[in-house]
Amino acid sequence: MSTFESIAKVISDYREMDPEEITLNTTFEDLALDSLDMTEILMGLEDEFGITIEPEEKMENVEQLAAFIDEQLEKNA
Amino acid sequence: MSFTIAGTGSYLPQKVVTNDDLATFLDTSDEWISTRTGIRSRHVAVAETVTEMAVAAARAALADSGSAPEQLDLILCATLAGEYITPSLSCMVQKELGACCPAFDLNAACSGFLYALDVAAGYFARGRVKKVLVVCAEAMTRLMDWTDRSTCVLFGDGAAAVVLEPGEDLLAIRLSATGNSDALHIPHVSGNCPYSGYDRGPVSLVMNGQEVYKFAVAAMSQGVEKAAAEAGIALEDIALVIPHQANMRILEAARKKLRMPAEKIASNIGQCGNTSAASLPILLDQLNRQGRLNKGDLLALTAFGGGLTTGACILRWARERKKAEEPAF
Repeated sequence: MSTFESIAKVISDYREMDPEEITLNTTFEDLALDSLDMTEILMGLEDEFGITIEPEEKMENVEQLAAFIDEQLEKNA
Repeated sequence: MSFTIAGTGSYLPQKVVTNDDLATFLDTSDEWISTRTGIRSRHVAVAETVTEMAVAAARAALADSGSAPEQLDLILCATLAGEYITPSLSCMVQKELGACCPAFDLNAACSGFLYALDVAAGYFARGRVKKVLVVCAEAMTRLMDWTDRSTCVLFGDGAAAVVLEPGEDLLAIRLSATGNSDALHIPHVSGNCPYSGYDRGPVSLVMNGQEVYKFAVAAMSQGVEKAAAEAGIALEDIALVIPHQANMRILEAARKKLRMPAEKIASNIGQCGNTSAASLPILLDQLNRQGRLNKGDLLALTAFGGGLTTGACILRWARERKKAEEPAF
């Protein structure tokens, strides 16, 4: 599963929605995710990838988050 | 040898402040607060001191247990702040009750009740005591920055107490501490010593909400799992989870991790907000008086808070179910 697909799975499970509705361009504002929702989603992704995911800056959309996670995975590799 | 809970009591201040009340002077709304936290209103100590709240809760617990203050062998108060740094809150409670036993305070923030139960269990195990009063009391509203809408809306005031006697109802208890002042702190008083010139800033709560949230969800779910394992019981055997009432979303996130049904997670956060150490025993007393606790029920208590501290225990409820004294919340 690609990083994007894992993110789509975690978000769609959390929001109980169809993962097909999530694209790279989907913003977290579109999904009405507040800071606590984001914390939970990041916790879910940490479980999924087995790494700590603590972005310094606020992530606006799925693409940014996927890029950040890929960067962390590279560092941990 | 641990203990059995012989009586419970609680006190909530008269004044109730709703989210709409807060919105008259804070840039917030009922919708914002209730969707993000589950809190609709909180009790605020206006007429009452922390000591008065603690004494009221203590008296209720003593009455519930059929005990007199003179019978107490120890008074233990879990609190962040009473009216004085010294004398301790427990000494002031002792004075008002007319008890004649040692008394001391314990500060484990929101995990205070569980830390206090663990301390009490030690006293019972040594055979040093026959009757212990544990009181948790907090006026969190006096420790807030009321210009910070992200924190002052979360907390409320209140007190609760339990009377403990020798028994075997504490089946497992686990505590932890991970020192961290960045996530959550309330600076102490600075004083005006001309030599130190050290100013800690205002005595009000500062919190990194997301860091605390992450810590809390993990603490609550892992706490219940590990305490149940230590007690040798399955999660399904737990009649009710009684969690520290910090935020409804923490309870919900932890509930999902535990895969437990919603009706097994007790909550009064809607009406009380976060009352720090008093949160758990207030809820325990309300459940008792509401007739929701049956003899033999296995209760999982779980707490997390400043320190950062955590606590979790499995308690067997040994008293007969009460007829409901209070309306359901």
